[in-house]
Amino acid sequence: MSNTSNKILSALKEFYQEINNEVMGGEKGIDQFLFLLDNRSTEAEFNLDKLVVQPHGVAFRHPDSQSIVRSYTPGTGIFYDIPHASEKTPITEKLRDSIIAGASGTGFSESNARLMSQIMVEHTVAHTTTRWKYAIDTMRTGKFTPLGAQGDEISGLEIDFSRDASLDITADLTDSDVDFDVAMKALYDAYRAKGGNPANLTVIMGTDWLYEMQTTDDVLTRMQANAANVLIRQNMNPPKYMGVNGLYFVGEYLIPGTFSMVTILGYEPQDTFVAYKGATAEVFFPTDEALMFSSGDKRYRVFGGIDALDDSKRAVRVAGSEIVFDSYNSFDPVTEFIRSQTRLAFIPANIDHVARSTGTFTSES
Amino acid sequence: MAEVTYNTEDLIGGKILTDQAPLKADTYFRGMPLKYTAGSDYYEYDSGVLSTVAIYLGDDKAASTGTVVSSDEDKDTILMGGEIMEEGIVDDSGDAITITQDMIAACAANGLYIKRS
Repeated sequence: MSNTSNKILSALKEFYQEINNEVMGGEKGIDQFLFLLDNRSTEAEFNLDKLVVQPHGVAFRHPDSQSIVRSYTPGTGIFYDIPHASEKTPITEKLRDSIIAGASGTGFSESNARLMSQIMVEHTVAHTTTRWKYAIDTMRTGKFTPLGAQGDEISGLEIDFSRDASLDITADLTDSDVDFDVAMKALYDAYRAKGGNPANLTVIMGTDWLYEMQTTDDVLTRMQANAANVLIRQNMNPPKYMGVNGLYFVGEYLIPGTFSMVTILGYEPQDTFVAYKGATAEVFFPTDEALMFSSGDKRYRVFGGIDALDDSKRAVRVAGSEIVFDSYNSFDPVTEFIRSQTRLAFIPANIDHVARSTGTFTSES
Repeated sequence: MAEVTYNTEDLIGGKILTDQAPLKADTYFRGMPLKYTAGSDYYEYDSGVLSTVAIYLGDDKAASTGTVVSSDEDKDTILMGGEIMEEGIVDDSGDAITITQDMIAACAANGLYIKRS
């Protein structure tokens, strides 16, 4: 097939590249913010020993009577299987013949190098955004639910942390008795009732919640009369928070009737999340949800061992990582496959220290 | 303004096996499913993708490209087995076919492993 042009062809092309949701240098993903601790190994399972105890008080006794027995339970051990994700892109003869966007020369070497780097960037962004979405969803739902091709659930892969039902509440903000303050207090009460840590208290809010906050008279009044110090600090121009891509600081807010200050954050990366080819784009953080947690709590980003090919194409086991690239060939016809792999699970040490409120809002929000 | 979309590989997904085989006189597009009827001595388009034993792998042959397979003996390259991508399977107009689970199972029985994307 040939293309004809009756004009003088430009010798130099400009190249416009837009790969959405690519993390720039110096930034980190929200998965690293929500799941602070990394666990990397060559293992297939993550073993978490838990000791959650609320010791009861001591009992008194008469003289010469015996001691009260206090039994000791050493805790529980849980093994979590770490699921695999891997993708490959074949580079066929047809693709090697093709022009690659952005290559200014016509030589094979430049095109091929550009093709390799573009494939790797696309794989990297795909893995990165998947981690963002799964980190958020694990916090929201209390489950780590790895989905297969076409978004299908794969039986046996889901990890259900069995969050207490009292931590998943609703707030009907169309009810005249329920305003932003009331809804936040209810979320806080649910969070604290299960022993949630009051330090580093953070709420990530969907856009409906933020709209509600920014249009509630009580909150606006406090903003104007800052001496009240109930809304302590708010930036007119929300800055990026903790260097996390898409996470921005909205304000610091004191829940009325409590001594706990909450950092309110919004999350909106450059583009929406598309789970698989042809899937409907969805926002990373649902618009009608608010999620309360302590940013200092122990939550693990677990990377298990990955089987890959080394330079001499022997199978090797490498320690878990965000992404492991390797390549292999089929010999006839010559086809190279670029493969990216990871083995990943998001595991909160105590899921009962995360509370979610799903709001109902009036249509104008 | 002339816009050109660069070629992309959307059919071959893994290791493949090919052959050169006779085709029925018709138009052909890369990725067209083919069936074989005993006694006919040629492969032909399988619109239902339920009797597919091969996939057309040669250059597009249609009026738009200036060539067609003009007689029942003309040979061209077909893909007889291996791993292929769902999105590369096209009808006799060159448009993508919506692949169903029935089609995937029928093709798998003949060694064509359709990978969903």
